[in-house]
Formats: sequence, structure tokens, C-alpha cells
Amino acid sequence: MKVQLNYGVLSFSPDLTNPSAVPIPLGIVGAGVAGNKDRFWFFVLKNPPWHAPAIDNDPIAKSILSELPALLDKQVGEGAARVETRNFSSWLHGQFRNTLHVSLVKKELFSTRAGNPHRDIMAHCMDLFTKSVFSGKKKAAMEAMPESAFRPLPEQREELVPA
Amino acid sequence: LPTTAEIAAEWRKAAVSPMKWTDCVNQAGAAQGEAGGLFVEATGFSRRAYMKPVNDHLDDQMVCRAAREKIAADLAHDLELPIPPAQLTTWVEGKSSKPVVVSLVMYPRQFAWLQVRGQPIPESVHGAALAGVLAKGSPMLAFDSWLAQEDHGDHPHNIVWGYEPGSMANTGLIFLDYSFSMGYNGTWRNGGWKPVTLVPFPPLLLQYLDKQALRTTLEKIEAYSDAEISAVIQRVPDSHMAPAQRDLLQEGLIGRKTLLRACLQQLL
Repeated sequence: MKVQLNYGVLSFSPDLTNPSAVPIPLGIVGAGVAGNKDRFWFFVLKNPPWHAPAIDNDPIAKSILSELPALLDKQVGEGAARVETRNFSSWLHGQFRNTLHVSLVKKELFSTRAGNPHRDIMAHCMDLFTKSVFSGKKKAAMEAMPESAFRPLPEQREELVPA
Repeated sequence: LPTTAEIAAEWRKAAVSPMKWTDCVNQAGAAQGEAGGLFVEATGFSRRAYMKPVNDHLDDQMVCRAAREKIAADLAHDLELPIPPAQLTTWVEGKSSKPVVVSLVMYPRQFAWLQVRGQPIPESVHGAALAGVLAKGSPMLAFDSWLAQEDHGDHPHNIVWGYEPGSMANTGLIFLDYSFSMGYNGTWRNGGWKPVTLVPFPPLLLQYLDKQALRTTLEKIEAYSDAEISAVIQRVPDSHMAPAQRDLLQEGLIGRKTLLRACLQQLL
């Protein structure tokens, strides 16, 4: 089965005022279509997301990030249902623009093997997380104890422009 | 390093930036909004700024997005209100150039209104911290109603909460985007500026409304001299706003400040 993915890297900016600050990647958030019909959205996040001194020393950021999965469910889950999958990453980019922001958007097309497509999709998303957040270092990615979610989306009934 | 307050005071002195701006490495949060924008830096200046509009618009001559941002920023500075300091400049790209504005990024950490407005207050650490700043947004109801800025009514991104980690004395709400204010679509022509009405405002901010702060800002706007308002508007160069447009804004803002009290009376 062919699967199209459209995803973004969710990052934390340690200092928005600094022209050369480097974002800290926290995870990936995306939407996809399996077999040209089944829509879904997903996220894979570091758990907890603040294992970086810049975040660990900021109780407010930690408090906000502790609710990140719930925030994504509300902010992305509701939006993803209204936005066409091919427009998802640009829509997502518009949603996260400050300290918590989308630092990179990408598209991906891959095939699942026969059997359990859901398992293959999640494994692929975990690989993307490892590449995007940990530069492909699997051990470091596993040590981050990633938290993931896979949510089906309703069938797209009309052409909608991203909000 | 200069503080934000020092930069704001410096930028208030001139309409046009003396610095040469270039896009910077850190593009964290560059918006894909209506105007489009990118983050910029200048040699010898340690802070990041946001430049817009980058996108081309057929209505640029009428809306004059950059000029409206600068005028709103200068008025807000004089009234001690939380709008980023701004200066005008020209963005050159290849053979084309366009009038733009650069606005200072205010805080190291900023979260969009969308990400904080639904949080339980004060049941979480950030909810408790946010509760302390919500009342600081109250004066903006007077300012936004004066400028007919109707794009802050629970807009997901045009209000942000900023702070400096480790120093909660340095925190506040910031109100962004005055491109679509002051009769931007021609509605202030022929006396169309006269109806002054309460603009849409986030319910959470109304819940924490500080009436005294609202009253104080209203009095400051009423006391703002015609000459000072005129100076803020008329120094915008023709390249960013035509003289006839400036005259219309001047007429509208001076006329509306005397009509504002009646519109806010129900809340005072």
C-alpha cells in the first residue's frame, strides 16, 4: 500500500531575539493518506521534551511542554480534519510560529508491506523522528523514550483552503 | 548591549531605519500569514527583527502595510503600550525594491495566543504566570478601538505572551499586526472614520479587564496632542504612504480620540 506523508519538525527556539540561535527539535507532527483513502495524523515526541538545559531551566516552558500532546490533539487534530493532507505542512507551519515552531517541513512517499500497514506506518514515522530529531542516531532516539500517537481522520468531503 | 527599552526609544526618533537589514540564519517562526515576512538582522545590531510585507499585494498602494505598522508602533510607544518598536526601510531583491517595516522581536521566549488562551488559569505553572499579565492587556482595548484595529478578537497569532527566562519581572503580552487598521480599506474616506465602536477583544482579556488601566490609557489618548499625532504620521516618507493617505489618517486619528470615551463608557 502506498502512503503519502506530509510532516513538520516541531522545535523549541531557545532565544527568539538572537539572530543566530539554533532551534532544539522536539519531535515530528504530520498527516498522511494510506492507499489513497485512509487519512490520519500523527506525532512522535521526545518524552519528556525538555531534556536540554535551555528548556530544563525554564519552568514556564516546561509547564507548557508538559501539555504538548494534549495541545497537539486540540490544535492539530482539529485542524488536520479540515485541511487537505497535501496542504498540511504549510498549515502546520502557520500554526506554530514562536518559541514553539515548525522548523522544517517535508513530504514523503513510501510503501508498506502486506500484513499490518498501521505497524509499518508507525515504524516509518519513528524512523523519520530518529532522522529529524537525532540525526539518525537510533540509541539516542530510543533513550528519549518517544511518545507517539496515530489518529485516524474523517474522510475529506470538500476542498478546503488551509486556515 | 542596549535594552529593549533603549532600542524602542532610539527607533521612535526616526521613521526610517539607518541600518542595512539582511535575512538571518534563525528564521524560527517566520510566518506564512497574509503579508508574509522574514526575520532579519543588521551589522552591529545584536537583536533579531521581523520584516514585512514580503509578499506582493495589488492593494499595497492603498493599504500601505509597512507605514501603518510604523505609525501604530510610534503611537504605542508614546502611550507606553506593548507593540514592538518598528522602523521603515526598503527591501531590495534583485532589481525590485519594496517599502517594508522591521519590528523588533521583544522577548527570548514567546508563545502564541492560540497556545495559551485555553490553558487552565492558574492551575498550572504557566497558567499562574499568565494570570499575572492578562490585566496588562486592558489598555489595548482603548488603543485598538481608537485605531479601529479589528484583528485582535481572539486571533490565534496576533497576540503573543513573551517573557525572559528567569526574570518574570520582564514579561508581557504583545499586540501585533496593525496592517489592517486605521481604515486600511478606504472606509475612513469622506468622514467614514467617525463611527468609533468597541473592537473585538479576546474574552480571556475581558475577563481580567483592569478598568483603571483602561481609563488611564483613554485619558492619555485624549491628552495626546494633535501636533504630536500629526508629526508621527506626516514624517512617514512618500515611498511608504502617499500624502493624501497620511492626511486621511491624521484627520481620522485626531477626530476619533474625542469620540473614544463614549465608546468605552460602558466598560469604565
